[in-house]
Amino acid sequence: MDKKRKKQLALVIDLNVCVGCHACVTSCKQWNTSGWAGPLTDVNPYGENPSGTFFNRVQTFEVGTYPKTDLIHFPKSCLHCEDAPCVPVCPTEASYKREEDGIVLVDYDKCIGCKYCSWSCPYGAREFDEGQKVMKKCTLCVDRIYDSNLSEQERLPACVMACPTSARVFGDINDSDSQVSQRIREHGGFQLMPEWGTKPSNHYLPRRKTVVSIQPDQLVRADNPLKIEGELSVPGKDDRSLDDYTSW
Amino acid sequence: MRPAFSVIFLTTLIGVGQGMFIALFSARVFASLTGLELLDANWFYGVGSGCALLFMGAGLFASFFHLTHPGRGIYAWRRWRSSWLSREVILLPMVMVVMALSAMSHFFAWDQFFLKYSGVDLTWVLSGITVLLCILLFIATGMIYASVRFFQEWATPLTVINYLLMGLASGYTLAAVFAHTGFSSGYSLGEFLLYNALLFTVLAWASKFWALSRNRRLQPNSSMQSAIGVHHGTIRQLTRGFTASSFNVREFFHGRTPATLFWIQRLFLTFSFILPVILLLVGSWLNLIPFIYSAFVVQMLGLLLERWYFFAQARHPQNLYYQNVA
Ligand code: SF4
Ligand code: SF4
Ligand code: SF4
Repeated sequence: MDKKRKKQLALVIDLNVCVGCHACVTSCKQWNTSGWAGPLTDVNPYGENPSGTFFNRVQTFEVGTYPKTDLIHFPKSCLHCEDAPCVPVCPTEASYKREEDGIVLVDYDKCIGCKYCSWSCPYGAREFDEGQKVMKKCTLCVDRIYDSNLSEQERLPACVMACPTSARVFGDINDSDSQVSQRIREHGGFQLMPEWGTKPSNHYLPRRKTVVSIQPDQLVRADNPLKIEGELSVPGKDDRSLDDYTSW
Repeated sequence: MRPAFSVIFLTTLIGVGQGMFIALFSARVFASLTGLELLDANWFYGVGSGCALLFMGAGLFASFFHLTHPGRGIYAWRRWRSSWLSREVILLPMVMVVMALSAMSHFFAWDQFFLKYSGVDLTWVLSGITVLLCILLFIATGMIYASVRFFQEWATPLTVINYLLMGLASGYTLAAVFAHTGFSSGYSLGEFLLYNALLFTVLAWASKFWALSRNRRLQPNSSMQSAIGVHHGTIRQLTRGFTASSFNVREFFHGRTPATLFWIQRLFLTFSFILPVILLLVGSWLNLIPFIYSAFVVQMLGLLLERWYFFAQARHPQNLYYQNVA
């Protein structure tokens, strides 16, 4: 018998449309600092040398040399790796990967704060909470996506809901019909640091060149059938044409 | 990365403790093989093992400062199947318990008692088990670091070998010091311990040297290109996304200049290896006991610096994401 295909929830992040607005950062912070698991602590938020805990950061990179540059806004949260190296090293079993949907989570009540897991994440996706003194990371909004008190459309990660350009898409990457799988397939989705063999579940979509090709005749009036019949001369650019008299 | 003092003390102190116990055990094997008559053997091994145990205890004490919830540490054995940290958490108290029993069996001369009734010398059995566990603990401690493949500086068998050899070097040096504190057994075993201290210090030096030159040639596995998946030769971070501080910035950057690192390296090489070798040699030739004592103090200082450097030199791929503040 075939082994049942395992579900792996993940985000697909489109670098082609991310505008670097940080809406996902703030909505993630808002959602995750307000839940039953306690705040995402900010130390000294209004004083000198503030420091905070976030599950999601948006970074900006410049590619190329001025003036031939491209600006890449790059959101980064836990990638919920399929072969998550942060999990087997955790001595207390506080860090674990869920069988049912592949989400990597930390049980805050078991964490001893040894930080060993953060050493084993090449992406720097884990952040230590200086208030609760435990390790934290993106939960893929596990407390939203299954919450039957929310309406169907709202059972999405907070960052996905907030993104104004729909740069973040959420779904099961092991379901080939899902929107995330289609995007990965059709837009050249890739993984970060594939060299470590962590098999990140979150994928990124690359920058794509948007090219519009315009032929010279498209710039002038090309829609004069009488001209083809040779009955009339070619009309001037600003003259009225058939389009201006009829509604087809 | 940023060196944590709790871990620096934990690893060096338990290294000395394990090394000292192994040193005393080897001295006992040496004595029984060469038929040395030791007058206060039980007293010597008992106090010596107790001394090793003190270092283990001090290391354990330091380790608690590394945890933010040490009370939950009792659950830390659970991932023993995959986590070397878990294995260390299991081994450390085991070593301490058997070491304590072994120290007591010498101290209270339980060996006589057991020899009489069972024909087995209990002290040999107990200290044999302790030595075995000590070696396993050395491996576990080294593997905690060697198994993190993302720190390429650590991901080598040399890390384990270095931990073992530096523990043995400092342990033998402490045992040599201990042998010169007036025990009559110490007079017979002092030379054996001292020459082994020399041997292991030189061996540790060689393996450290090897590890350092390996690390100089390391090529990072990850690049800016693989980090953000953009394959262009020139990529520069404009902002890491926040101007304030964060865990990722504090934990993985030591914030010292390359010059500081260079000088710390020179200092620890001198203090851990060169000076102790000179002090031990001069001390034994001219029979100057203060030299032997200071060899241990200097070596401990050196090993603390060595451990600091060991952490600071390690570069994590996550640093690629944290290079610039807007
Ligand atoms: S991104 Fe890091 S924290 Fe998240 S699953 Fe992968 S290794 Fe673990
Ligand atoms: S910091 Fe917490 S979650 Fe991370 S390895 Fe240690 S106990 Fe596990
Ligand atoms: S999925 Fe949820 S926890 Fe993760 S980055 Fe988005 S909002 Fe934050």
